[in-house]
Amino acid sequence: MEAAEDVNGYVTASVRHFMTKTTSEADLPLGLSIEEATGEIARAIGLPEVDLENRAQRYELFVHRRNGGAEHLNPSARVGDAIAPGDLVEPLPEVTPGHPGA
Amino acid sequence: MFDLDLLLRDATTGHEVRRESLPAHVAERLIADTHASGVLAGVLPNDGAPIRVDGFSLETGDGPARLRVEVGMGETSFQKLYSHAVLRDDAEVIIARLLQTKAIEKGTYTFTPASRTATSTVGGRIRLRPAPRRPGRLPGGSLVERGVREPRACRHPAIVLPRRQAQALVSQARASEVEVGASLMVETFLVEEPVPCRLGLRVLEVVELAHGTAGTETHLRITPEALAAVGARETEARRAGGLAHSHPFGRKLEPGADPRFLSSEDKAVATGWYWQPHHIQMIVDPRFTDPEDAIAAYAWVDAALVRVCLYLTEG
Repeated sequence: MEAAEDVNGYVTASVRHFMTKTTSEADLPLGLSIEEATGEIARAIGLPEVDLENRAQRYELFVHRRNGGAEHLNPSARVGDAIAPGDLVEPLPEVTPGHPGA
Repeated sequence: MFDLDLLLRDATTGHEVRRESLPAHVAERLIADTHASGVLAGVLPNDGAPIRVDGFSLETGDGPARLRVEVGMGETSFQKLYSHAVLRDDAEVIIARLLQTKAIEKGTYTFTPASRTATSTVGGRIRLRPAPRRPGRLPGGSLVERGVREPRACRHPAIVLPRRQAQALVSQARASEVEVGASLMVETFLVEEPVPCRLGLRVLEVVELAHGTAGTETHLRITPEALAAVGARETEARRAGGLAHSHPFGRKLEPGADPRFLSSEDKAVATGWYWQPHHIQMIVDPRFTDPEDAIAAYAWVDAALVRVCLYLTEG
């Protein structure tokens, strides 16, 4: 019989705003996908949620491990598998400044 | 406490056209500006201690609405009053978005801040315990020692751009027919000379953004990976201070028109992410070889984006 995965509960990590460097402590639900967690973290720390065309602003989540490593997290991974207690995570945007009318 | 809406009215009829939520970073920008103003005025201590927000209120009297922000540190506090005009760039970004999505017609609109009427129904699933805001300490520094011969009496932050870095920006822009960009690594300091605005910053390095192009004349592409690479180079004395990018479409504009402006999309980037008092934006016109002609700079002055002058230094 396959063991049921425990998707309840949280992992406590630090989240950082990439420009202000303000760091907060956050409890992240283990069962969230990284994509879902990234959107919620971005909203919680006051990063823009939509782009100029009113589409959801794209962010990718980067993690800095306690051992000094850093990596980009796969959006389809689960928080419980990808983030360890004490990690520091940081959503980074893809932005396209420009001038559509030129 | 910080939740605000932006009310748009038809400029001709005065009728309310739209009410939009102002993003959270708008309030953060005003708080950061109030703190910086307090430190530069010598009222708040420049010791890097955490700050408090002692007040954030909307005042709606007879005239246009105003925002009062009060920031405290230890026993002292500093307050600043902002006119509705401080939201001009935010309003432009919101209006550009509404036009893009055809939510409003082209027209002339006025804007004013208003108390938020609707509460968000989207419940977050993460539990966040925000740390106190801690903007950090500004070390003292001399403009003259950084190569500025005669400090000017400007109201905006003093921006020192060594000619070597300026030339790197111009060379990057001229080497490409499409829009390209760079991150500006800066040091920030409290200017020792008696100038009206004592916030100083010097560009230490121009970091070309990896894959920093969308391959067109009119759009830059800044990837999360490129931002991560910039972040890895930051230290306390060397911070990401803003963006520079080219506008290589000057020849397509009306004769005499200056392409070194901030578009609505550029303003969305500046207001969304690069809104701290020391953040700057530079636009490079690649038709010119001299940095004096090619580069225009924009900085935050009283929390509003303003085109400003530079100190091009030889050192």
